[in-house]
Amino acid sequence: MDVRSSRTRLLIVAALTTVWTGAALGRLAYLQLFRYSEYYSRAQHQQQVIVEVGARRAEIFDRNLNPLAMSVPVDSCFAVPSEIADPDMVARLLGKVLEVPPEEIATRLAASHSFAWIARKLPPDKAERIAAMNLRGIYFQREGARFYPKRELAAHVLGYVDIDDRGLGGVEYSLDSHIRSKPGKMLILADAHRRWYDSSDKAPDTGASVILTIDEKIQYIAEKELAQAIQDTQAKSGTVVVENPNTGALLAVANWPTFNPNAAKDSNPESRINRAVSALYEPGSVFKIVTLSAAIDQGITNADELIDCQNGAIYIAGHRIRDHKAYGMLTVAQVLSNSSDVGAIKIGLRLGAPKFYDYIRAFGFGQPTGVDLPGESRGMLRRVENWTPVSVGSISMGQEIGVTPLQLITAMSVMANGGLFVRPHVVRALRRGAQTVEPPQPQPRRVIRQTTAATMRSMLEGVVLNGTGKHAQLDGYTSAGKTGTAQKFDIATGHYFAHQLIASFVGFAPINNPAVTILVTLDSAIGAHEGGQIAAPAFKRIAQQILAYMDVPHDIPVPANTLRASRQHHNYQDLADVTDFDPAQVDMNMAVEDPAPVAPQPAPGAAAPTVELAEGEGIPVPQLQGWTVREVTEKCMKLGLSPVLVGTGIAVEQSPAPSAMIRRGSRITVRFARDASLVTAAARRRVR
Amino acid sequence: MPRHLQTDRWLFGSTVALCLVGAVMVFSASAVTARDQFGNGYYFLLRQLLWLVLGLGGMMAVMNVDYRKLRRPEVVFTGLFAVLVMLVGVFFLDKSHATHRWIRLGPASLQPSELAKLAVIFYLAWFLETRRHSGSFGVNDWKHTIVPALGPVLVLGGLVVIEPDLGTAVEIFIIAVAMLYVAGLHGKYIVGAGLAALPIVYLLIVRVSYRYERVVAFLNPTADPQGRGFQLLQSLIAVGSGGFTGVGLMESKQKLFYLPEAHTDFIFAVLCEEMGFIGGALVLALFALYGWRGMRAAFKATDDFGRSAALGITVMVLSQGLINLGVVLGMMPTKGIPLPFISYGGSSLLVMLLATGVLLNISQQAD
Repeated sequence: MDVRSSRTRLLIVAALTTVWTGAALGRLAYLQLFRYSEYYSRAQHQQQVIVEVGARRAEIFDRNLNPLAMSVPVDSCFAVPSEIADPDMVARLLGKVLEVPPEEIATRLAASHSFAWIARKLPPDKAERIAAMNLRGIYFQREGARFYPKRELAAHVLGYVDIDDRGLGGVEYSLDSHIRSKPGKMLILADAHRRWYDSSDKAPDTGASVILTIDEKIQYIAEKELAQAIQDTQAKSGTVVVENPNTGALLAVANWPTFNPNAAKDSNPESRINRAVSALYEPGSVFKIVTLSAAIDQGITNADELIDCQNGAIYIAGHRIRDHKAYGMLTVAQVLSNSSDVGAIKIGLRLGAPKFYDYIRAFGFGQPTGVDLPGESRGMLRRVENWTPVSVGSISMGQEIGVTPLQLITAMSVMANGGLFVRPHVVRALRRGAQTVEPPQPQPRRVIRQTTAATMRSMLEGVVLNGTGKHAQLDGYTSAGKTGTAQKFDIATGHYFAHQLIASFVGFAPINNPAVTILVTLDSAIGAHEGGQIAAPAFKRIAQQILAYMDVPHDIPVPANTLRASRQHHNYQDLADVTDFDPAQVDMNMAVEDPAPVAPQPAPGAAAPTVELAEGEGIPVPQLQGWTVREVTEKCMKLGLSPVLVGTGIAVEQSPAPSAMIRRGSRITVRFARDASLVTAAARRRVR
Repeated sequence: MPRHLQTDRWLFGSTVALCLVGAVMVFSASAVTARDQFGNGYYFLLRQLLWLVLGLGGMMAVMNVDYRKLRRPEVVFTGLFAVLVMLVGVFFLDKSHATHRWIRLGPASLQPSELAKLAVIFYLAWFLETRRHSGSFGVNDWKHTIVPALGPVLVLGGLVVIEPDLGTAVEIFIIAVAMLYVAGLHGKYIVGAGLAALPIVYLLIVRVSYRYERVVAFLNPTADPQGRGFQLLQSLIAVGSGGFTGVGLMESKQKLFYLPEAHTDFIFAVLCEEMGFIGGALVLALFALYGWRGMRAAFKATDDFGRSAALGITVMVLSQGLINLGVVLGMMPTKGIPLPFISYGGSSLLVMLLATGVLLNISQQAD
């Protein structure tokens, strides 16, 4: 063969590679230019499946670091439908375990080739039963299930999360971005061997845990007494707020109706409203504290000036306004303690609309308080230019203005703390690892002079001592406050409801150096309905327990009969102990299903059910004493038991006792304590 | 050398450009997995750069050595024998990835199958020239040419198949067939060999489950997108989602554990995702440039050895590149073949650069 034909053959080889290269270029263009949008959406799709899960939420603590919300690992079940040979059979098998119609699962399997959730956040027993079936194409993903160990306690402050762990209310919502781990670092990735790859384990940052200003025990007292008051008065709803007047720290925010954040999706939306920040109502007589303090602060009246209350009637701009009682001459202090409308109107008129308006704004009405909770209403306050001739009079006695409970307690705290507006807040600190950051609080702003506040305090004490608030008198402590009874204003119709009244009492104790400001409002009580009759007694019960719990020293002698009674029975300290509260009994199954298992389950880790399990004997009760609330919860969840947690601290008692046999899904009651001797004993057991 | 020779700038330039694109892409594709596995995102990049320096140095040294010095039986047979020893030797070494492909030398590892390609090229170039010069036997002489030419090729290729590394074995046979064809081998032998190979192909592909699954997956990737079709489908998603301009350097999402072998066999998919059609077409153009200069050198070579060697080297680089692209673009079933100059891998890079050095010398002497 000569060189020429050899070169011809060379050209043929070159031509072949050229064709081949051209084909590759064509294929490249086809994939990248013609089918770009299709592959782009496929890429998006599979990458999005991935960021959806895997977020870890940090804990929420009360101010003493008792956990109020935590995340415990649970399994979610998903399918890769393309790997499933017989979807109908798989749907039937899963449907049986999950107690859902097989058609529903079959629909989900048919909807996607690559990924379909079967059930999110399964109870451990069901997850195990599904895992035991060992179905091809069925996988599990660890997720964090939000768990509120104290159930309803502080539900409106905490909020709740949806199935994807997104915060939907309360602090869970407003601090969602802090509590969640950073996005992007929580990818769930799949590799070629179809293992699911959770990189969030490697992400060092799991979000910041939140330390609230809420005190678990004070919150408990507030909720218990609110529930009691609701029961006694048949009110439709109610709110109790407890605040430290000096710092603005909210120690308790309780609303009725309330809900269990563990099962928020099954609760009535009405019950999830945080009325303390969003309910709008006319404050009524409580608002007279603003009218009077403004006038005193301006020096146009004083506590002892005599006001002619005109036998209970006054004309403003042609309208006759009647007092609830015909008073003659009253001092300003008596106007407040007797809650004379005519007296308040006359003082308000003397102050004049522009000044009055400035003070109302300075007290924080008509604008959000800036509390770190979502859904805050700004209230309803017309601009002074739009006031009618009647307005000054109406507002002087707390009508024609809409306020939230939080605005009202903030205004009362101005009296208590010596004249300063302090922003109410529930977040004390954020903790990320060892680092604790306290969110900055705005500088307190002066509203009225110190002397004005002092005058107001003694006048408000008069309300309790010999005015409308007598039921708010405490044993062993001085107290002050203002009652209010307002007609409910129907925003829809623009009229007042005839028979629906809002009774409120806002006050503080003790008089000198007040420790707490407390607000109680009860909406649409049946029967007795005045603030002094129903809200003031609730104030008393709450204040009495809180002051004892906070170790506030008595500033007046304790009546002898009370002392005797407390010796005979239990003292307030005991009442305040959360351990006596019928515990937020903890249903770990969170979902709605019946917690009792249908059949005995194999123990975790056991490859096959043992004989005794098959006979329905169950599993041995774990030894829980000496462990923390969190550890106990996680242990129980792993074993498929429903813990009932009582108290806080270290587990000291449990029932049933360790190593007894128990069925999966059964309740196990664990009592926690901080008592030193019990704790050391329990710790010894734990070491063993 | 009698006259001052001009380096083939086009060939040199395209080679260096491909290597640089490779270094950048190795870093981009491996940074995340490297951090995951070794705690150091530069792990693969540093090794690749080290091999690149070695390889480029070797290439520049070789390109200044007259290729005719390789045309000696002692050189050719020493090479063949050394590769044979190494290929047998790997079976007595520890397995890695369930295969016997590597010889570990301290931190580095060597793939004898890569060297086998070079040994085959130079052996055939030498042998075919001797047949031509002796005059007594033609290239189509069965007993004296074809059997002795194919003997070593079949032995080396067979050992590579047993490793198992079917991809490289196929490479070796493609190179051999191209060289024999251009040397004048009759077409009927090539067709005959192809027919004779069918049962072997059947045994090696259909009867070996993982290869058969790859073929099935290639024919219908969407049937099992999370299983057998996963690799191919992820590769197509990577390429397709790149579009015209790409998602940007270092921005590939598919390299995050979706795309297996992102920095080795499927590096072109990451390149297409990050650099788009522009980047993919550029790499194809660089290979085409390389091919043009290689074929040109073979065409213009003044002697049989030079022509055969230039053709063998060019076919080695081009066919390997195009098979890799074919796999990545879903034009042929998955095969574990790296993209020359670009994929991570020391032995492959070194062999390719040394071979290119020889090609550069042939090219500059042909002008």
